[in-house]
Amino acid sequence: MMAVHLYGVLDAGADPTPSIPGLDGRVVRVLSLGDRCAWVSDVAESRLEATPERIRAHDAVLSGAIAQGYSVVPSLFGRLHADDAAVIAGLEGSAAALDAAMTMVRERVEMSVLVVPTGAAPAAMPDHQRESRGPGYAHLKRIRDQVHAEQILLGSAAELAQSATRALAGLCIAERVVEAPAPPVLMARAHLVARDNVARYLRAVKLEAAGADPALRIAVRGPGAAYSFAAVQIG
Amino acid sequence: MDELLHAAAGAESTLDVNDDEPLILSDLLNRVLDKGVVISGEVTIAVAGVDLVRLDMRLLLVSVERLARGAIEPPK
Repeated sequence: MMAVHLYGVLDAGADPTPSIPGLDGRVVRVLSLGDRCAWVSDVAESRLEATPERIRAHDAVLSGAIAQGYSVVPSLFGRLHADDAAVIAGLEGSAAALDAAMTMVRERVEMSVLVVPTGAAPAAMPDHQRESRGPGYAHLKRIRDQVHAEQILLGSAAELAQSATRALAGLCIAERVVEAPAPPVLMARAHLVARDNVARYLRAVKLEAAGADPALRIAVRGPGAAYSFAAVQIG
Repeated sequence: MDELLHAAAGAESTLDVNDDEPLILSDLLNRVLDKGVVISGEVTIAVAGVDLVRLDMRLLLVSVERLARGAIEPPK
């Protein structure tokens, strides 16, 4: 049984990057929606398994659109639609929400700041190496130090993320704090940024990273589709 | 955009842009997955091969399974 996967909605006339395949290597097709279009591809099953390869493929298609300069309202991954008509009907039924979403993402992209541990001890961690007592004490102390180190690391990560937020405030239209990011990410912030400000954004993050605790580093994801701010959900 | 990525490639080691695949995938999974998937009554989300997100997905799958059994109590 075939079904249709929706990548996102773009302005009419947006053409998928031919060199970027869709899910399972399928061709990305364009459905016309008047002054907009939807990028879709066929999926040869009715139950969509979210494998890392498919997640990457979904994102790669949308990142390709961003790289071509298009404004994209992304679809979240996980819903399949019976056929093209179902996609079109769903999107036409969400026209008002889609208008608002397109306004939100017009000439804007999502950037993410991810604070992750480097594996080094936190700078504020006291050095107890010289203390020598019995093995039981040493064992308990190792546990205590480990808990202490984790607390210090989390505190430093929160400070770094807040500092990044302050440094980037003038460059971001909106920020979303990611609750409970998946390990090893300690703190994550998604930012909606004007295309024209992406280079400045990266320079500002680089400055923040340079002053970070050696136990932490900053990774950046983006520029990409604005999943955190304006996603299509139909079906 | 190419210019941007080239500029990013010159960043110091404390700033990695799009070159940390496990991190990028982990972050993507946090954002991209539709958390309440319903398509014509069929619901399936599974993630394999990424240890860091497996726990989240197990929890989601459990909740979906419980939902299917009608075992989720309404919030009080």
